[in-house]
Amino acid sequence: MDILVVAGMLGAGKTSVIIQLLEPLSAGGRKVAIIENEIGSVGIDGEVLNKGGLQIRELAGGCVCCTLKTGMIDTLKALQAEVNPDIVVIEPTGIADPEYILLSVDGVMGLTVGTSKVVVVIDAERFLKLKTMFERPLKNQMETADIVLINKVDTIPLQDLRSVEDSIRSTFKYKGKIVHVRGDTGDGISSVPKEIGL
Amino acid sequence: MTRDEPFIPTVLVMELSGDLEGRPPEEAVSMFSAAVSETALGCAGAGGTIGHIKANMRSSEEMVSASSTTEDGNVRLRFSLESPVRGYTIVLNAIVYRIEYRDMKSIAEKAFSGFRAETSVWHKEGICNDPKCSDPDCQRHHGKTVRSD
Repeated sequence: MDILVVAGMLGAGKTSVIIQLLEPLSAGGRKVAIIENEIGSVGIDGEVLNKGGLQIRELAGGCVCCTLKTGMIDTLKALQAEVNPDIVVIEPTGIADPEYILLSVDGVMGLTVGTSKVVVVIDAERFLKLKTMFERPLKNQMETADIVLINKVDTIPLQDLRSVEDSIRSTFKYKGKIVHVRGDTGDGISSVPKEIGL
Repeated sequence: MTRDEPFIPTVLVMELSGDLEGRPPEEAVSMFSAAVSETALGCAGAGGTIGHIKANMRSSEEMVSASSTTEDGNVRLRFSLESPVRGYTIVLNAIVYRIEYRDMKSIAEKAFSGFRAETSVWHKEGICNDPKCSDPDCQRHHGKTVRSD
């Protein structure tokens, strides 16, 4: 069972990106399950994803990287036993540290984890405005990112996109691949699983 | 991490239910979208930075989902309602930075007042003060250390 963590700030478009990732992730008949972790005691995105008839497990009212860590492991074990997915996509809260998530599933007895990858989704329109405010969680996310997706690229001019990229590289010392995507249309997303070896 | 860190938001959850007495679905969706937009605009107007304002409205077996993630009140809808709306439920999850809960609640109450809900439930979600915890919602451990490693 491979794990894909789709991290990123609140409002970056993580759920939209996940919806667009489902088709390429499911290629060749692979089974995909989703763990949806939301801030707040009610699930909103889980209901949205559920409309597609997907295997969804919601963990609300805490964070899978800390307070709901045990809940996440139990959920992964249950998914493994009941669904046996090839890939589990984890959407954590906007300020979760993906490293904690990956560390917490590493070597857990009864859980067979293959490849683990992290995608970080950035909101093109708001990144420059919010990067200082969210510097710490963003830094945590960038440090573990296998790929950074700049989402909503249609909302800002190309020169501003370059500024966003420059800032990702300079402020967060990110050296990996950056891809421009649109979560609403799926542009740029279909090749992402291959890019990161999933 | 402390509550004063800028990336710790205020989280409001609202659940409404009532009867729109057979209102046309387009009109109900429009009302719903406008209420979400007004909530986002109101929070932004009060100096808040929007994390997200998301809401689902269910009627019969149908659902429309609305999301606003910017300060301009732009709302994106997913799915829709196709049948006249009688009994409905709305769940709103609003996450906004740099705003007081009471201001958020007041803004959302006004924005959704057109729904004249028969029942409404409001939650303020707590945050965690664990210095290693990067999540704002640890309601059960409000004000306590939740991890000691």
